[in-house]
Order: sequence, then C-alpha cells, then structure tokens
Amino acid sequence: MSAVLEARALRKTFSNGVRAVDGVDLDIAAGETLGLVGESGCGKSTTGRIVLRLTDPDSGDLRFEGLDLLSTRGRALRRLRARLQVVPQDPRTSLNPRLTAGEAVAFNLRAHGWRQPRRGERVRELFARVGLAPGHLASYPHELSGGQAQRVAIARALATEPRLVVCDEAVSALDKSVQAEVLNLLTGIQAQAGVSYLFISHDLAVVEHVAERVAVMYLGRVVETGPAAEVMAHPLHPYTQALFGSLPGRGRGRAHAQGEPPSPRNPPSGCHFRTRCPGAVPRCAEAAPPLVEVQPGHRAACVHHPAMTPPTPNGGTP
Amino acid sequence: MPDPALAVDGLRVSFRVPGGEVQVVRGVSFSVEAGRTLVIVGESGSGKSVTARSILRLHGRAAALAGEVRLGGTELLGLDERRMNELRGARVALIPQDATGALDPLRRVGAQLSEVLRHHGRAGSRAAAREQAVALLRRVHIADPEQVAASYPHQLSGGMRQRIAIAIAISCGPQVLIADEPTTALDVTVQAQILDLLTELQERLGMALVMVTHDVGVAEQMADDVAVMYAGRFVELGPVDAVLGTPAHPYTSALLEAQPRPDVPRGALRPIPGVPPLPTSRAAGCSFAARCRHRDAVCDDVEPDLERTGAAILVACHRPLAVRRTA
Repeated sequence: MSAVLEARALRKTFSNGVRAVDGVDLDIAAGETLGLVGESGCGKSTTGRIVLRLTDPDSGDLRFEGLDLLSTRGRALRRLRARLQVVPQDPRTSLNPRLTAGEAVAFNLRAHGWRQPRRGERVRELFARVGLAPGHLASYPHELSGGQAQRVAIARALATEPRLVVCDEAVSALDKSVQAEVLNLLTGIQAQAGVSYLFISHDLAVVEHVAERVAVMYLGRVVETGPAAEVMAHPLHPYTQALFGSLPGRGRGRAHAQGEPPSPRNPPSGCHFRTRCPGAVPRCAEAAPPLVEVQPGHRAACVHHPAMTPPTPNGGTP
Repeated sequence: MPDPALAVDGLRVSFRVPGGEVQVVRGVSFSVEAGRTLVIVGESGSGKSVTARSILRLHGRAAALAGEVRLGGTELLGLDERRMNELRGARVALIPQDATGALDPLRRVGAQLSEVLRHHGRAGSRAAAREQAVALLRRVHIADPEQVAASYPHQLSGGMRQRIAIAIAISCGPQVLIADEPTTALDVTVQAQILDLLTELQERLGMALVMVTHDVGVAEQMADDVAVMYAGRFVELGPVDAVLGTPAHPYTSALLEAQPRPDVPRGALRPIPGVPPLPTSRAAGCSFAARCRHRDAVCDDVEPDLERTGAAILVACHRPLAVRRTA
C-alpha cells in the first residue's frame, strides 16, 4: 500500500509556551482511515492543522503523496489543496452564512479552476452523492439541519476529488441518530473513491467504528498506535487503558486515570502521563519512552512494557 | 407509603413566542424515591433539559408551567417566588452542564460556597461558613481545599469547576439533585471521575437524583430507571436493564441501533431517517410515526399514551416491540 501521508517528528510550540505537538509521527495509507484520539489539549487538532498546512510546525517532515508538503507554498500549495481537504466540526460556523449550500460547494470548485457549465453540473452531482435533495442547492446554512449542513461540508470537501480528508471532530456536534447517517456516508464514499481520512475525534466509540488504525495522543505525543481493533481490545499504554476504562456504561473496564491532564505549557519530564499513572516509577521521569513495536504494527511508549526493559547496567541485553 | 422524594405529574411547559405559544414539554409524569436515580435520555430539542429545569422553575416568567411537581409533600408550581427561593438550593438543587458559566468569575470559590450556606441559614458566622465551605470542597475530593477556596474559577480546571458546582449543589443537603448533562463538557477520563463522585455522594447522602443526558452510556452506568424522551414526551420509562436491554418503543430501539459500535461493520450503522417534528408544527398521532419502521395506520391518527406493557416498563406506542416479540 502506498502512503498518502507520512509525518515525521512534527513539533509545534505556540508563542504562549504551549507545546501542542511534541514529536509526532503519522502514516496514512491510500484508502485508509487513521483515527487520532485524545482529550482536549492533547494536540490532535493542531496536528490536523499542520497536515492541512494551516499551521506551520517548528520542525519535522511532512510528505503528501511523496511530495515535501512543508516546502510547498504559493500557487503550488493552492493547487495541491485540491487533493487535501477538511471537514470541520461545526458546519454551521464553517459555512458562509451568506452563501447558499450550492454556492458553498461551487466556491471550492471555482478556486480550483472549474468553469461553468461544468461546475454547476458537478455541484448537482455532489449533492446527489451526499444524499441532499436538489432543492437544498438554494438553501442557506441557517435553513439546514445539523446533519444536512454537515453533508454540504462533505460535498464541499469531496468536490475536488481529494486523496486525503482531515475530519476534525466531524460528527461530534451531531445527535447519534444523525451521526450514524454521516458516518455511513463517509465510509461509503471511502469505499467508492478510495479517499483516506485522518479522523480526529475525542469520541472513542466513533473512532473504534470508523478507523482501521488509531493513534492515541497525550500532551502532544502519540503514546500508542496500532490496528484499531487490537488497540481497543488490548491497550498497552496505561493512558490508553485509562481512556477506554473511562467509557461510561457497563461492561467496560474501570481503570480510571487519577487527576486531570497537566498544563501543556509545562508538561512533566519524561513520560508526560506519569503524574496520573497508577504504575509510575522513578524511571518514568528520566526520559520520554520511545514508541516500540510490541505486536506487528502495534506500538506503545511505556517503560513497563517487556519490550521496553532497558539493558542491564553491565553486559547489556543478551 | 411515604411520599417519593420527587413526584412530577402531567408536567407541561410552554414558551411564549411571537404569535403564540409553543409547548415544549407535553405531559411528563414520573417519581423518584430517595436514594434512586432517574436518567432522562433524549436528543437535542427533545425537551429533557426543559423538563429538568422546570422542576426548579428556572425558566421564570418566560415559561408557562402546568401540572404538578411535588417535592416530598410540597407542591412547587403553586408556590410564590419567595418561598420557591427558600427551597431552591436547599431542598432541591441543580448541577448545571456548564459549571464555568454557573460560577461567578469575579468572586473566589470559597465566597460563592459561603453565600449559599448563609443564604439558607446553614452557617451563623462568616468564619463558620468559610470552614463549612472548605469541608464541602474536601467532600467532593478536592485535594487542597483551602487553596481552591481562595481561587477564582478561571484558575481551575474544568473538572475542578464541576466538582465545585457539585459542592454548591449538595451544600444544604437537598433531598433531590437535578443534574443537567453534568459531564457533557468534560473529557472522558474526567467524566468518569465525576460520575463516580456523584454515585458516591448519592450513596452517602441518600438523595434522589434526576439526571439528563444525551449519552446512552452515561444512562446505562448511572440509572436505576431510564426515561426516553422524544418530542416533549416520555416514550418509554422503566428499569435501566429493561429499557436499554429490551426496549419496547421503536424510538428507543432505533436510538440504540444508531450508536457506533465495534461489532457493526463499517457503513452499516442504522441511522434514524428524517428529523424530529418541530414543536411549532406537530401533527396529530404519534410524534415518531413519520420515522418509525413499525408504523401503522392508527399511529398517524392517535397519539399513544404512556402505558404499562411488560412487568415494569411504561411505553407510549401502539405497536410496542417487546409485546410483538412474545405474541
């Protein structure tokens, strides 16, 4: 499988001192969904914005379809954006209130050189594809329900046949009965068009359903990554365990994290999770444990994992 | 039999809008015993929050309330505002969704707690109130209560602020606690801690808890009884295991099937087609009929009442599911 996106060692510290992204690696294959999960302030949205080239990282390497994304700018970047699109969280604030739904989608097409009458045909085609009645072409955002508005946002994102769509909490504002509809639409489009998704969400149940692979972020770092089913069934990192243990409802584990996430301005030394971790030992404060492959494709960053046992002081590992 | 801690009978809530009135809650009845939890589950606009807040009469003159709300032996809807103010916060208290908005940003946390205690005559002197405030913060497991009491809300985390809102709510030992989406604004690891805290406090203090949520998982974890609300009415009410395990109302069943789960193949979630009716344009018959897979001719004409079907479940449906299964 060819990689659509390869991110290496992305770092971003904002001017207020918040270390939002602290050495993140991501790989997304063609036609694949990578779920990026974590709690507020973990850096998942900033990571998404870096991938979209809306925020410049301080350092790191970012390749999109083999192209060096960070050195691309100006007209070349604009052209490339046709293949790299976004579905934002709240369609009612991301849609221009003074454009009709049809105009919103056409706007994106025009930016990428589509001319009339082909543009109008394409807009109608997209509306049919996302399940919106032609009557909604002339609707303004305030006349649409949340689910309809999100369909417009999806039609707009798909207009230019992107290879990667960043879905940033794309279904979080929707009621479950509508959310299911939009999730079906997103997965259906993927099956048809082979588009890849970077699916950013705080909702574990949604990610569990939609993603093939997940990356779990905590205070700017990926602490665990692997096949979704595998990570959910056998979480290796204590943070991942706490995250899934916190899911409300019966039948889930009850391993809770202590306290609340520390400030991303001043994260703890070593492993960022150690201040809330039930299994923290002095060694955790020394250095950030690297992501280590435990099962094929399943990596975790924790000193407690057998694969992470450091070499003995004299003699090294056998 | 003694009165339940809270009994709501035929509650109707209407709001005045330009050119008339809109009925948002259309005849809701339930009761909660001391030490028990009723969770009202519903989607946006179902009327669940309005129901909860109307118990405390928080909508003021904007809303017209009808029906009965009895707190112990006291009927609340007929009380004058002065008397209601004495009860509010003392015998029935609210945990809001947004603790940040509920706390005064310009006053220290300790002062806000003391104010409630002194308003309800639970503390004689300022010093006594201050001491009690610190004790309350300790009771909601705030590690350094003296320091937190001296802090302003913006200096604290979201989870901490929600703990403070809970401390204020329990400060006067209410018999009934109303929690309106108390963890919706919180991250999942913090939500788990707050839900544990609520369970613990309820066990210790024996309050009746009425909780409103959109999250079926939260309902499953917290409820003794669950009420499912749709278009201003309860469509199903009963013990949590029965309602969420073998739902009788097609809406409850559809809502559960729409939840993303790992065992459902990608693309095979079952959304509920259509949208709920607006309160301004409700047709005759069952409000869910237009979206219902089991709809029948009668459903379009007659709105079903909430009636007992199984041993313990009440359901408002002409074609309840569990009955058909056993038939």
